[in-house]
Amino acid sequence: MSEATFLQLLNSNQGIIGKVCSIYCNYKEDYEDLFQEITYQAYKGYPTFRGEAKFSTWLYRIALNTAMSSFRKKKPLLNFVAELPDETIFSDEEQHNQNQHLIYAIKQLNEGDRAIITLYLEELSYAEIASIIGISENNTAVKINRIKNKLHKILSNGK
Amino acid sequence: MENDDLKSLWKGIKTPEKDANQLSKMMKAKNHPVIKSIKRQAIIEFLALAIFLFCYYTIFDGNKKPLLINLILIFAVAFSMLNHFKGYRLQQHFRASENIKDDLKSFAAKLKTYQLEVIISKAILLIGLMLFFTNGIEFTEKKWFAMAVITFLFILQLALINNIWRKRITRIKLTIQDFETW
Repeated sequence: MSEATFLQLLNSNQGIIGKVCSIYCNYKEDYEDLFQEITYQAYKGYPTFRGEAKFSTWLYRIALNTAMSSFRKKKPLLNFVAELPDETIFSDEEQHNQNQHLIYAIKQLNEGDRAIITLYLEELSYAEIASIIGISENNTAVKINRIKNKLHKILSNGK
Repeated sequence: MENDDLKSLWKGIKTPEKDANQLSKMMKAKNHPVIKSIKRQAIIEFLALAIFLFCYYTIFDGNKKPLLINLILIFAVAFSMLNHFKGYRLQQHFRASENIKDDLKSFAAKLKTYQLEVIISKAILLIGLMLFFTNGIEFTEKKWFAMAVITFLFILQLALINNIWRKRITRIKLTIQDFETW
């Protein structure tokens, strides 16, 4: 598979990388570095993509893996506004606040839970999530329920 | 808020788009900010050590020191150069294979090994340099004091480096632990 094919696939799925960077980074500089690291890792790993899963699912696995293993400067989350990456990151004006609120809520979760809920929100099946994360389907179901409850709690407290 | 609302909110999140040219640049190691800075640092240190190895024999009187001391110094410098190269390779290493939990486990193990190697290589380098430069000199109180200060600063640097690696590895291990608990 050629570089051009990969670039085309990456271009149409770049939102995945953006979303993962948004939930794992607090600042624009970190966001850009992680975006590049994921892109680099995906290109390097592209020869291992066998096409058994969708490209988007494969890219999520690479992106989440890279986000959780990359070195990032940990900075304290000060408050709702201060911890957001950058106002210009989001362009949809109508849903801007709600989107920020959801990202903020996801960022309150631990790094592993962020990965699981991301895959759930992308509507992957429990079996797919279990296989990507490397845990059992039962454990996945239990965790998703717990994470959803946490998320609802954070979202309702934040209102 | 219902679960479906969460999903539709998630799908509605828009992030800034990169054009094909930007994405294409990001795919290459030469444009990678972290790899680039590791490479630059590794090249500078590598060159400094190579120049030192090339000149030490005549400039620093290597020819007047015992063979064993010379060999220890060469080994210490070569080990340190190798360690820089390994660090550069580790950053380039493709980390995803089967599933995230196993990949994180394997990456944490690699980082742990590298952390130990960094500490060992820096300790060996200091010992090699100390043995070389103190060989044949007469120790006075001032020289002992200078040695103690250098050793203290070196140990402090090792502790700081170790702390950075420890934090990174602990973060990954905590994530693995989270995945494994119910």
